[in-house]
Amino acid sequence: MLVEWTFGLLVVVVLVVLSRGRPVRKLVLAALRYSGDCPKHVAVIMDGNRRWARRKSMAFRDGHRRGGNTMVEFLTWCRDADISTITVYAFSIENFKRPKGEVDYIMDLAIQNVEDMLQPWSAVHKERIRVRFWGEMDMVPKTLRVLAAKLTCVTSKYEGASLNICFAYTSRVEIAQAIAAVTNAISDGIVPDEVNEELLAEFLESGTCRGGLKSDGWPDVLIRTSGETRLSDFLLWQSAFSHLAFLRVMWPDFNAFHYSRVVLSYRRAKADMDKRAARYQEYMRRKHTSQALPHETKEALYNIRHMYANNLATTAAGSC
Amino acid sequence: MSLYRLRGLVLGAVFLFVWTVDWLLRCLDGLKQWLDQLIFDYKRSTVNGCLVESLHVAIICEDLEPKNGSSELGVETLARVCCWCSEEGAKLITLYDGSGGLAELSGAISDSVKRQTASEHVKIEVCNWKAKLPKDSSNMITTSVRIITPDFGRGALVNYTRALAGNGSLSKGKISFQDVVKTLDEDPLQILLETEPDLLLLFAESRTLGAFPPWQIRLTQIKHFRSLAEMTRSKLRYALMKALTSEKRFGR
Repeated sequence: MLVEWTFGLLVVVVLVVLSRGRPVRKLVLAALRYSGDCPKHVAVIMDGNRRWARRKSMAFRDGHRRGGNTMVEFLTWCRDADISTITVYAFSIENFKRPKGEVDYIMDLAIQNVEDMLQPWSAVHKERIRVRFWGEMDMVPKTLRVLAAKLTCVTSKYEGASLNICFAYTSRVEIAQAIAAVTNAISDGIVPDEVNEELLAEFLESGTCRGGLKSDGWPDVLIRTSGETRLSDFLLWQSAFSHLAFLRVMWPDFNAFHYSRVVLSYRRAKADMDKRAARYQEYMRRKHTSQALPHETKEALYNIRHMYANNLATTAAGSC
Repeated sequence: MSLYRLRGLVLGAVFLFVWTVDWLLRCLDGLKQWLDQLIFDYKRSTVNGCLVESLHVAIICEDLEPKNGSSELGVETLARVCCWCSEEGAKLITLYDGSGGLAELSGAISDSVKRQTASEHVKIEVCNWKAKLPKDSSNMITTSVRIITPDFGRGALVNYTRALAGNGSLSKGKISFQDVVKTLDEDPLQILLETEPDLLLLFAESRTLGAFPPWQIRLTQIKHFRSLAEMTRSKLRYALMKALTSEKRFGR
């Protein structure tokens, strides 16, 4: 009996160790797809780079660099995990308060990463990932702004998966921008004077006015690494019915096995999440007449989206 | 055996392995939490709520009705949790549920709270939105328990958009996002939470916010319990301690 248990435990340990390798990762992700629903839209707060570096007695720069590598690695296996949209919180507006040296390094690292993504051999092109940047890109260096716009334009026709990178972003600014945009659009007579949740959502970064897809609006899962249990001004509107997964692992150590645990916890919670979402919708239907957008509003939104795409192409210096 | 069936068997076995390891790790997580709680209780670390001038605790409570369909037990437990929060120093407790059902039970919650308020120095007022916060008098810890509905969440932001746009009451013509932030911070319509909750206790099967007011949960610590029955006084103290001592690192 003891021999059997020991052998069983050894097999478990060997497989867990081996799961760091690619073939076993593919097998684990295939097993997840085979066994039930997987989240389609995953949002991630990539937290813990500096603490990871401190634990390994490395400089914080190494932590950020390793964090960037982990994100790129995530892109290579996201399709195996049946993920069609990833939204990552790369840099908050509040992070500008960090020491200048660190902020400058992060900007340089971001420029390097975006340049790498523009290369034809990068995961973005191999996996046909459509990349968008959410946030106040006016606050970042011009080089990064232009490169980000270029990457968005170059990948705009890709249909493999979507990657939304929240850079110089906070959800409050996003919501305030949306409210200001709707207000100004109504004042200009572009949009009819009927405001509801759906109209406001269209003007968020995840909304169609900003080039978003329907799938961008509602993350199925919101993952935060490093053990913190708060949202830190990330997707406050969009995560209303997302399954929140707070993991103790630091972001540079995040891998497919941690993700598989998130999927299992998502499946356990899904029935209750759907029930609560239905009860909320029922309450809103009882209290308000209609949440659907009228036809003329949809046309106006289409025009606004077109204008936004033109502005982006201009920023990318006409390279699309 | 066909290749298809073999593939199914292999994937099924791998899934079972992953599920088992996840189950073992969840047991270990539970054990760790229990040990942390035990150490915390042993050290008798008490959270003095008065260290934070206006401690605000938010409670999301879905499904007060357990399987037998009666909400009485749920109301009693919820009232008890409110009393504990008050005794730990909470000045404001916000109750929320995504179906608006709590607002209909405000009378029952208020009665239950009055029955359970143990200390003479704790006065709890239960009211729907929006009465003024009660003022301190002498050594009375006065706590306001407010019940909000989904209308005070995203609905409030929609109302502000209506007020700022066109012929709305706050209309100023063209505005920037800074104007919007300023307006929401001032809250002239008084439909937003006064302060950001320090701690959000989520009592539901799923760890989902259920459209809780989004504007005010930027830095709120979130603690999840699968049901109200799991809650104890020491768990509340531990959650408060974690919330008040967590490091805020430049917006993260």
